[in-house]
Parts: sequence; structure tokens; C-alpha cells
Amino acid sequence: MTWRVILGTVSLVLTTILLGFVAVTEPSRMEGFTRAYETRQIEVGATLFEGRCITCHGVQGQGIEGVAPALNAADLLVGSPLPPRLQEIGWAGSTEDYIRSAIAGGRPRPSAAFATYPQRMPTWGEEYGGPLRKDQVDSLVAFIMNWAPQYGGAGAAPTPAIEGVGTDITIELPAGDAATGKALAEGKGCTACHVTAAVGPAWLASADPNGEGVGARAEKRFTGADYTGKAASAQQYLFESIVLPGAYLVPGASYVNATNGQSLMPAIYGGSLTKQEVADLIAYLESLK
Amino acid sequence: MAVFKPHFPFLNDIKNKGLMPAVLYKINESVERLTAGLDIEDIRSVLRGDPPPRPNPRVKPHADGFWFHMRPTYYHNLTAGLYPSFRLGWLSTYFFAFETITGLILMLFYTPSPLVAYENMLNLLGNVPFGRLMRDLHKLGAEVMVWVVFLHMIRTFITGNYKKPRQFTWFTGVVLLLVTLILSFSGYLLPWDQLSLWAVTIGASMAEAIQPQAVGDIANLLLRGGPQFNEWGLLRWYLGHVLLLPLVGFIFLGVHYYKVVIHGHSLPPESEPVGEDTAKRVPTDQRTYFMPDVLTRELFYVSVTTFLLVASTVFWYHAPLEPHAEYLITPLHTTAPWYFLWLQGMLKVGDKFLWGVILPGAIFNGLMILPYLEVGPSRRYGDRRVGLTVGALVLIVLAILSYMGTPHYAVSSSPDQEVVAELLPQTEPGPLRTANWAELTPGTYTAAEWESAPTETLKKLLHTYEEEMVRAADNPTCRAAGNCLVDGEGLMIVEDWQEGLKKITFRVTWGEAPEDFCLPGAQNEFCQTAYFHRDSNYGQGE
Repeated sequence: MTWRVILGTVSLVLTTILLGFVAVTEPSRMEGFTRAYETRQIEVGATLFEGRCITCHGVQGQGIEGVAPALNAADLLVGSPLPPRLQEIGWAGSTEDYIRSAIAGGRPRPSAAFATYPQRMPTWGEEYGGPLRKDQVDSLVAFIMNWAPQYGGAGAAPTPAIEGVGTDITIELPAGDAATGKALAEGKGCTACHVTAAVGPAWLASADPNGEGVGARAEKRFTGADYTGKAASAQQYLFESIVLPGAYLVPGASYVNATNGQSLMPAIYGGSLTKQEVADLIAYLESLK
Repeated sequence: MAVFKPHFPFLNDIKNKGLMPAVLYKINESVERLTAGLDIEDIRSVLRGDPPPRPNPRVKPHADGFWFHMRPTYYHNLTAGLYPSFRLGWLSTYFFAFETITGLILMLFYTPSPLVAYENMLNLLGNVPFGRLMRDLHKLGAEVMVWVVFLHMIRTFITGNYKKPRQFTWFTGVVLLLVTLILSFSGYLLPWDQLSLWAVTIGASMAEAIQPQAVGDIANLLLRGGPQFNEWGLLRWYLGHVLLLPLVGFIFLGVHYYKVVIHGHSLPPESEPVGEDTAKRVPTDQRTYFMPDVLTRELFYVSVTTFLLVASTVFWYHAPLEPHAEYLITPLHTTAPWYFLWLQGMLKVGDKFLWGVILPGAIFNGLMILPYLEVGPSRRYGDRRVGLTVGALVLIVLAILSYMGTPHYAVSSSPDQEVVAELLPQTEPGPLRTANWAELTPGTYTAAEWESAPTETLKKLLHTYEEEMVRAADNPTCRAAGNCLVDGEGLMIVEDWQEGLKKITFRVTWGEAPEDFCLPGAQNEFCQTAYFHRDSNYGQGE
């Protein structure tokens, strides 16, 4: 019996040691697996590309004149803050997301700068009636993004987690750029309510009853007698309007929810816009006088 | 009048005996409660190997405790050791518990939907600490469990324990064998990779063969969820795997073990008079008490088996994970899991309904009623020469059928595809994907001139390529099928394709090879391309 007790105990101890060994090596193993799987996606994407894409986009993705644009191209894959082709259509997400959405959903028409292509890009994603599963579309994205390193890009990378600007309107913002802000306003969907439509207050002077743009209004509002917010400058007022839309509701405004008295504007942008993006938006809004 | 009167006997104890004795007494009492009857001194005497005092306190847990009441208080000396049981029943129970525990952990990270099941696998492997270990343990445990349960049945057959009065124990055992097999098989589908889809498709296609056709069609639809495997099929197999089958197994395990205890562990056949069952009449001097002898043996088995399982999975065994399930790509050679290869072999013999449904059904039914048909009174090996010979023959036939189930037997295929599949298999990494990426120098190489290749890796790959080309040029199978690759040439082209990515093209030609290179629909030519990334690291198992 003694040797059974000893051997059994030794086995238990060894098992525990092995589990400890696994615990120590597990982080690097998981990282290794993830890296290996990401590159296998590139391999799978290359095979899919060969089967589905080269007839229009060229064997090496260099594009075919008069058929489809180049994908193996600097203006799609690299650029700051976004590659030129994404900026041109006002895309606000990552390059991966742009490519993914174009493959999955197709393109109803070519973007303006590439209007020479007579055929439209078909929808490939299963969810839109195409033949490819989500993981296959992801593999194609990984393969296409793997052309970026030759243009000095970083290659396939997950959509970066955004560090939101927060709701403290007194923080110092970086210098904003009005042109980038305009592209952002279009890309993030602000213009759906704010340009001339009747929902949000229109930004453009031409659509305001008093003929004042949002920039001009901001300069006066925060000093008004009925103002309930905390802004001490026009910039802060615009900042507040973006991240804390309920801080001050202009009396009689069209954007108040009739049932609960809250603003219709979602109070989410403190978490989803970066400091730079807010600064750009403010610069753009200030220019609308 | 006090409504609430505090009552602390422990404080009185301290007052009467002093602090230390009172605490020690309390601890001793707690141990006695936990063990349902053994105090610290009893346990120490057990561990020292002292003979039991009289009255024996070690039988108390069998009377008072839940877990021990299921176990016999003592075994016959002749059944307490390795022979005749080899503790295979105990090990089967252990694996049932082991699979339940690892399975419950895996369930936490799994969704039974074709949309995300495969992604769940990747998440489990790349994001969950101990995730791969759990998956490997569950899979390895399942494979070993099939062996253990099967060997348990073989052992029971050889020692004749299925005979009266244990017929029904055998019957429930056959049910448990079936449950084990189907449990193992139903787990196959869940990762939703190529292996899953096609292995289970083979299984479900047997249901389709049931006659009349309407019944077969309905059975097939029920198993697959539709004309081809879909989300409903996956959900059904999942629920069967995690609910129905474990439940059936649990119930039959209870009945099975109840019968084992009721009839007692039967003695080795040669140790009791023919036709008598003396298992329940154990003379006092022949008893091995469960505590401590049998208990330590069982715990010893459990800890060593656990260690072997964990060590195997840490160092070499990894559950396979093939590419995502794909209806449009049928892998070159799909096989059933090894424990169903005999069934696949039978399917190659003849009619699907007869060989795939009727006969297997008859085999299992025959097994179940075996003890009611074979009623010879003697369990002794010498008296059962015919029975044991038939049993051995059945095992041999099973082995032959299993061989016939493998792709080596009677599978027609194209030798050109076989050659490339040898280097670039569809269901496992294979030689190319595990080769040294850096040594795949871009260029065009001919298999026949493998010796002049610039690197060792290329030489090795091309040598394999050439050997396969030579084999494909002339062998019995291709002669019979008339598709030998006469005047064949194997070409391998390596190109730099992207940063860190190489494109490898295999081109096999024979006879009048076409001038053009790998055009669709070309005659006497087979082309296959593969892409290979520097960091894809296929060496790690999945």
C-alpha cells in the first residue's frame, strides 16, 4: 500500500507542477497562436483572392484599367490620418473596416475619383446575399492589408480602441483642423441631422432663421441669461454641446424629446471621439458663422 | 423570560477542558463528520497500515456516508487486485466524471451556432488561459475512454462475468458502450471545422440509407437539420452531446453499478465451483476491506491517470482543428473516427442499408442479449473454448473491417491529386506547411531533379514529390483504374508574393502535357497553389 500512496501523491504533485508550467507559459503560447492564426488568415485570403478577385483587380491586386481599381496601392493602404481614398469619401473608420465593408456589402457606385469603372463591385458577404462567410471576408481583408508594409504601412492591425475625450470640457484640446473636422462631421453621421435638416439645429447660416451659423451662435449662447451649462468660451460651448448634449437646451428647440424633455442627440461622443477629433470638429463648427 | 437564549457549548467546553484540548476536540469532531465516521486517530491508523481495530470504525462511512454507501465494505481477496477486473470499470467511471468536468469548462466558451462555433475555438485557443489544455484533455479523455470502455467489455466477456446472474449488468454495459461511442462521435461536430462536418456527414448519410426511403429521409433531416448540415443540425448534436447522452449515461451508470454491488464483484472463473456464484459469500479471512486497500488503489489509479493525461496533452497531444467547415470542399479522404472505421469498412462491402444499418443494429442487439442466449453454466476458460474463439475471431474481423475503413482500401482517386495531397494535405499541415519557410527559395524546380535544389528543405520536399511521382507512375491501384501517370513530370514553383508570404504552385503533368500553364480545364495537367506565411507556425498542433 505504501508505494501506491507514494506514487499517487507524486503523481498529484507532478500534475500540479505541470499545471503551473502551463500557467507560466500560457500567455506566450496564446500570443503565438493568435499571431499564427492571423498569418494563416493571410494565406487563406490569398487563396480566396486568387479564386475570386484577380479577374477584376489583377493577379497582384494592381488593378485593371477600365475594370476595377488597384488594391495593392499606397492611396488605399497608407496615409495620415487616413489613406487618401478613404478621406475622399469621408470614411471615418479604419482601413480594415473600409475594405471589409466594401467586400461584404459591395459598392453601389465607384467613388468620385475612380468614376471610370463601368461595373459595380458585387456584394460578397453572406449576410448581404454573397457567397463568402464573415471569416472569409476577414481573411481577404488580412491579405489585402498585408500589402501595406511595402508602402511603409503597419499591415493588418485590429481596429484601435478609442481613448475617448471624456466629458470634462475644461481640458486643453490640441489644435483643430477645420477641413478634417468637416470630413469627420460627414463620416460620423453628424450631418444627417445638423446641416439643414429640421431635427438638430442647422449648422449652416443659410438654414438658420436668424441667418447665423453654429459658430456665430456659439459665441453668444454661453453668456445668455438662461444658459445652464458650464462653458466659459465659444469653444467650450461647442465642446459641451458635443459631449454633454443635455447640459443646455435652447428654449423651444426642435431637438427636444417631447415625452421626457431630453435632447435627441445621443450623449455618447465623449466615449467615441478622440481629443483630436473633437478639436477638429470644433474648428470646423467655429468656421460656420 | 428569555425569548432568545444564546447557547454556546463550545465555550463551556473551553471552560471545562481548557482552550487547546477543546479546540483539538472540535477539530477531531469536524474530521469525523466530514469522513462520516473516521476521526483523526482512525485515519492515521489507516495510513500507517495498522490492522483494523474491533469493532472496525472503517466500515462506518459505508453505513453513514453517501459516497461510501455505494461502495462495498470489503472485497474478496481474489478480486481486490489487478486481476481479474483490471479496474477498467472504475476507470470508465473516472473518465465519465473527467469528461463531464472538462466538458462543463468548455461549455463556458462555446456557442452552438455555425456562425461563431469556429470562432469560439480560436478564442478558446488564443484567448482563454488553459483553454487549449482543457480542449486537449477533453478530446484525449474521450479517445482513451472509448478504449477503456471497450476493454472493459472485452475483459467481462473473457472472464465470463456476463453469465447468470449478471445478464442485466451486461445489458446496461452495452448501452453504456453505445452511449460512450455516440458521445464521443457527437462531440466531433461541435468545433464546426472540416473534420467535424465531413466525419459527421458520413455518419448521417447512413441514416439516409434506412428503408423505406421516407423513414431514411426523415432520419437524415432530423440529424442534419436540413438537406445539408445546418444550424439546427448543430444545435441537435450539441444538445445530444451535453444533455441527452450524459443523462442517459448517468442513469445507466447508476443502474449498472447498482447491479454490480447487488451481485458483488465476481471471483476469477477458476476460483469458484462451476455454475456457482459465491461473490456475495466472502469468508471473514478472505476479506480485503475497502478502506484502506481498495480506496488507495482507486485513488492511485485516478492520480496516475490524471497525470498521464495532463502530461500527454502538455507535451505532445493536441486536439486537431482543421479549417472552417466548408460545404463546397470535400476533403480528399474523409474517414470516420477510428472507433467507427469498422462501420465505414462495412459500408464499402455492400448495400448501405444492409451493411450500414441492419448489420450494426444486429451486432449491438446481439451483444445486448448475448447473456440470455449463451447460457452455458461454466465461466472457466477451458470450458468456453468455442465462445472465446468466436470472440477472438470477432475482434480479428473488427480489425480487418477497420483497416478496410481507412482510405488505403478500395478508394478510387486521381493519382495526380494524391501526389500533391502528399505534400499539401487538406486535413493536416503536412510536409510543405511544416517546412522551413526561409529555405523555400523562389524558383522553378522539377521533382526529378531534386538533388540539384539549392536548399535542404527544398531537396527534401522535392524528393518526397519525386517518390510520389514514381509511385503514381505505376502501381496496382492505378493499373486497375487505368490512370497511371505515364511520362509524368512534377513541377514546383516558389514565388515571393507579399511581405512574408510565398506562393507555391504544384503542377503535375503526364502524357501529352499542355503547352500553356495551369489553364482551367486543361487535359493531362493538375495544378494546385498554396500560400505560405513566414509566421503561420503549423508545427504547434492545430
